[in-house]
Amino acid sequence: MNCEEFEREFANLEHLSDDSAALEAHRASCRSCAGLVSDVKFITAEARQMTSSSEPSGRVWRQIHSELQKSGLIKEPRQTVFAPAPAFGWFPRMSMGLAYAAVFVIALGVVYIYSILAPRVATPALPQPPNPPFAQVFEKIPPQQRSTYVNHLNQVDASIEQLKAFLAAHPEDPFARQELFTTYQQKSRLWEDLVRWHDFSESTAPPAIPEAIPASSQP
Amino acid sequence: MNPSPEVPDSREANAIEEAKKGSAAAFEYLYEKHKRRVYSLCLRMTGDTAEAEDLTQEAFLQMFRKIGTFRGESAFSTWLHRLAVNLVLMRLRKKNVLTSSLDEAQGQDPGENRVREYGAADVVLTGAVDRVTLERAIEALPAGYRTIFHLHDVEGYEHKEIAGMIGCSVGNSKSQLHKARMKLRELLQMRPTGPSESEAETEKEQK
Repeated sequence: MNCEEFEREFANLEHLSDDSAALEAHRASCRSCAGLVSDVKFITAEARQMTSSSEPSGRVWRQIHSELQKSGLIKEPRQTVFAPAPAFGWFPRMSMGLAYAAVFVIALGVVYIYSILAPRVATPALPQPPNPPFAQVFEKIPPQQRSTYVNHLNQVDASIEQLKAFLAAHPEDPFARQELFTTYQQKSRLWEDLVRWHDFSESTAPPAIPEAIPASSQP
Repeated sequence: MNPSPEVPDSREANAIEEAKKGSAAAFEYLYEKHKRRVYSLCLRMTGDTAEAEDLTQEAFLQMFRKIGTFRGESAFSTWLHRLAVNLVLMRLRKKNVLTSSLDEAQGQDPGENRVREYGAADVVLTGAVDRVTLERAIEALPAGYRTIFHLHDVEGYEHKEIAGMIGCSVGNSKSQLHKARMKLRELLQMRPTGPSESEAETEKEQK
């Protein structure tokens, strides 16, 4: 085998390790061909180890992301971190969630059973609203202030009527009862303001306000 | 392509499933994991950073569009890599770089017809070439040679696969690879190995 034949056969190898005996024999006796093989082996070995050191600029991902959004491939809001690190990471937490759910369902059941079994207690009567003599005082104040106070009074009275109507339909609703009491307090404060404004406090005593509303029966 | 040791990655498998459902975070995870390899492939095969970025973008977009069809028969990285290679080859074909380099360059490249002086003692490269010099030499190869060299010697594709991808015969692929290696060897042998200008000046001053 001469050098030309050697090179032709060497070029036809699928892998450099597929060296034939004839090639090896020629290489052993020819420094030039041995150098060629040595160089090619060195080049390919170095090439295989070339690392991916460079990376694309941030612009590439921004454009990909924008294209994905435009084409509708992204179907959920962007998360800051993709954290599937432990596969099925939610799985260990599922038992905790189930425990909470079970406690909630049991508590609901207990409340429902108690509401069925508990003896019905008569709902106490609603307290009466304060009823000071607004009309008498209105006559004594200038028309500008009067209209303001009249408007406030009308709003408060309207609220009281609405709440009373609601409580008539839902007598055991503790929130509506509390709201009614608050509205009574507003009406009382309105009266106090009116009196203070005109310095009628000495001659006109504020009406009695119910101290508290008797606790309604709880279901 | 030579099988590379692929470690089963449950995070990646999870991300692939999430990406199929349209998770933006999963898309980003897959991009971050594979961007370097895809970009390097594109950069080394085209030798142009702007074109490599363009091709990287196109490769990932195509991958995300087709991810619903990925069934896991091959490794995800292999699938993505093949997709990127096809894109680069398509681009080179469009520019007529690949065809002209592979089939018509004979006689155009002055190094092509250079006959090796059989029996003459060549400069032995081993141990005298650093990675950067090698990368520069690969970049200096004609596009067709660079493509074959990269696919076979860097990425590990078989000649049969390369022939299928490029549309040439196995013999042609082998022949082009050998020429690419010879050209590369020549480029590396021709590189300046003497002292640099500053070193030469220092030596002059010392004399």
